[in-house]
Amino acid sequence: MKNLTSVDFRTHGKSYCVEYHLQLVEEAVLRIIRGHPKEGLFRKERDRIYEFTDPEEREEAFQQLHERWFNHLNLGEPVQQVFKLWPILTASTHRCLFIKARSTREIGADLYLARVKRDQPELSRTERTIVVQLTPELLCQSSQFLVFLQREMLHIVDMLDPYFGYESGFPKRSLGPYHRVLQERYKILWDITVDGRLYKKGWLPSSVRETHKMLFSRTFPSLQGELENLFSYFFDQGPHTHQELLSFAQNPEKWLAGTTDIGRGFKSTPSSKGWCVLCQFPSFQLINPVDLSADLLVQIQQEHPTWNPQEPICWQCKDLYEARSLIVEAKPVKSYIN
Amino acid sequence: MPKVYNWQLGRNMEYPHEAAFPKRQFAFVFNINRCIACQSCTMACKSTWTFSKGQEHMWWANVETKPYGGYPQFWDMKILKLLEEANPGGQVWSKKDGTFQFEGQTIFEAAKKKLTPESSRVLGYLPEDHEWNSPNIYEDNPKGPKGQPFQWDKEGVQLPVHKTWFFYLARICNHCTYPGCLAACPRNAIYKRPEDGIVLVDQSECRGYRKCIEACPYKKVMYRGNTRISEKCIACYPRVEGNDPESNGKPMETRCMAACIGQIRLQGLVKMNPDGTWAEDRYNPIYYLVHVAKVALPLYPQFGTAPNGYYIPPRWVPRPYLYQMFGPGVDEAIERYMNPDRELLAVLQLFRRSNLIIFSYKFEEGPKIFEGTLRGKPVTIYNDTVIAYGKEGEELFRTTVEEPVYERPAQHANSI
Ligand code: SF4
Ligand code: SF4
Ligand code: SF4
Repeated sequence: MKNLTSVDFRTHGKSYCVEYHLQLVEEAVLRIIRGHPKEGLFRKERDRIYEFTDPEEREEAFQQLHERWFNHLNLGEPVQQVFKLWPILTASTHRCLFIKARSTREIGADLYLARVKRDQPELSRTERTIVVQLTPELLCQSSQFLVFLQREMLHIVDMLDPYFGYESGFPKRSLGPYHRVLQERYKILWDITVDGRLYKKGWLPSSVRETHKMLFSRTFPSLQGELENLFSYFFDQGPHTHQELLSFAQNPEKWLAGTTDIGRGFKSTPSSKGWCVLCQFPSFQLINPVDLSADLLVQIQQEHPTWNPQEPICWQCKDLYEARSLIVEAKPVKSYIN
Repeated sequence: MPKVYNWQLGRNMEYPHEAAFPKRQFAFVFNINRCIACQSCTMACKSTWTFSKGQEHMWWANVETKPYGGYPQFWDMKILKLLEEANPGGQVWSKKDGTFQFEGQTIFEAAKKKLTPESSRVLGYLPEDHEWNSPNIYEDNPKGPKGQPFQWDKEGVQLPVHKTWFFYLARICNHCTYPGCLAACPRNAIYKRPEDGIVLVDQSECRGYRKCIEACPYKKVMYRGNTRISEKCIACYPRVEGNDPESNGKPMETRCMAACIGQIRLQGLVKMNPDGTWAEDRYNPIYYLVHVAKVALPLYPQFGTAPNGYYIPPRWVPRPYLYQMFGPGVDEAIERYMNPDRELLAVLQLFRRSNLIIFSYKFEEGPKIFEGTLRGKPVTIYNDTVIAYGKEGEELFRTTVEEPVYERPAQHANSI
């Protein structure tokens, strides 16, 4: 039994394939038909299929019915609109797949690459696929669906745009718990630049600016003095690049110092004295490992074989390893088992 | 719209379907003061009825942590909100001559004002897939206020009084006297059995319109994607009928009742009057708990479906929350439960002493075994006996208020 239904269309002379998960199609049709003027007609057709006794025939008839009504009700229209907005989408990818998200957390779009080798430099159009995960309820609400698509697809446009220079993965030094912080910061910045562009086109309400500003100030609390300027730089101006967003997310103060216009006259509170090589978090209290006991050095090296004991670590990591050695040494005060 | 009498509301109400009343009605009492959320009931039902393909998200029996939890997510908040929007500020109870009356609108009455969509006969909503998918999500996770990321609620854990409260709400289909699901089905595929009032979906008539799912305020009808047919709790009818191989021809309580570790559940079949009220049956334990002792209250009576699931409310929960959930009888119910008379204390011993349905009981006085004070009030406890009888009047078992203690002979100490 098939899982997907495809809607082929031609754009700029090339054929492009949009595919929908059948479960998504069925659920969207069932939702939108409630109270629709044509509900009676739809029900009549659908009720008849329940009489089919062969399970395969029945399943196929249901699928065909829902596909047909999906097209009849024009539920794919916002998708067509968005592809027309940004021709790079269809020019640089060959297929867009819409699948049902199992939870609201999964909702979003991503770009999948059929890379043969990890370092393969050039990818052709047929090696790139857009995958959009969404709920049927979202698909039914055409205006919300359009805004969702504009947001998600503008991210994809950035990923495809050579000027933006998107690269998957973050620098090696950001592995460990700090990686999550960096990811979150990067996501917030990227979303700001995307919504800023959509806002300028008049597609988003003004409240979106305030929401992003609040998030920006919470994410980068040390920039309070320059908040408005910096926020406006990302939200109102552009174009920005992947590298720019990443270096700002990694170290905003350093980024500012190297940016002539915005950085001029900027006084920031430094957010650290440097980085702990073990946990990758910035810290004010870095310790020279020379002062640590030999046992502790061995313990740390066991867990971090690539660590060079010349490199400073933070107070918290030192505490952690010391506490661990105490636990190992601890003996039960009294044994209750004779 | 035809009018029917809803005793839980203390008045007549509109019901958009012909009402038909069974000879007896499947009903149950849950003492949620005792539920420990072990989910044995949930799993008993799942492993019996909903373990097949397409039923993965179905939990006909479920236990949710209130106030945060709900299956489907936020079901009660959503329907309460819809009712409030349809009748702003009007969802209130009045008291006349010592009896309560609901002055607001039920899901049937409010539907006239606010139809969603217009073809509906009952006010309701259709949950989204993800609302069914994680039955106990967020119940053990702290969460901040909505729309304010990176912030926690600061009120819950303030000293000196620990203000946080919660309780476990065990739920199954209420086999309502005026079922919303039944009224909403355009194909009359849902019916109420005349012999026991159990509400069933006729699997050969259902065409998956899902109007029942939209209309059931308790969200106890579920859609099966692979058959495209709605399903719901069947009240384990083979057991209730006495046709289950295990029951030896005697009416037996359902799987979820029998599995209850906390012994919070008692299920029975109450006699009905031709007008849909309960016929007087003083010594039926369910009748006694609901109509005589008045310790067990219907779940969200204001919805108007006259649910046949009754709850002894949790005594530690703030009263306004309980009034909303169980109606105006809460204070009286908790007072009586916390200071039970001799008969109530004896009837509470019937819970889960047997898996057979108790049709009546007899109370026999026993000797005084304790005298003292409890929460500042004098209390005397007697070792009274309660005797349970089955369908044909046969004795099922007898038990006493004081739990019998059996001492093992000394030579077995610490042996396995
Ligand atoms: S609880 Fe819901 S499903 Fe059960 S009888 Fe009542 S309305 Fe129908
Ligand atoms: S009565 Fe039976 S079918 Fe209904 S919830 Fe309990 S175990 Fe499941
Ligand atoms: S089995 Fe009984 S105690 Fe356990 S969760 Fe269910 S109702 Fe509660």
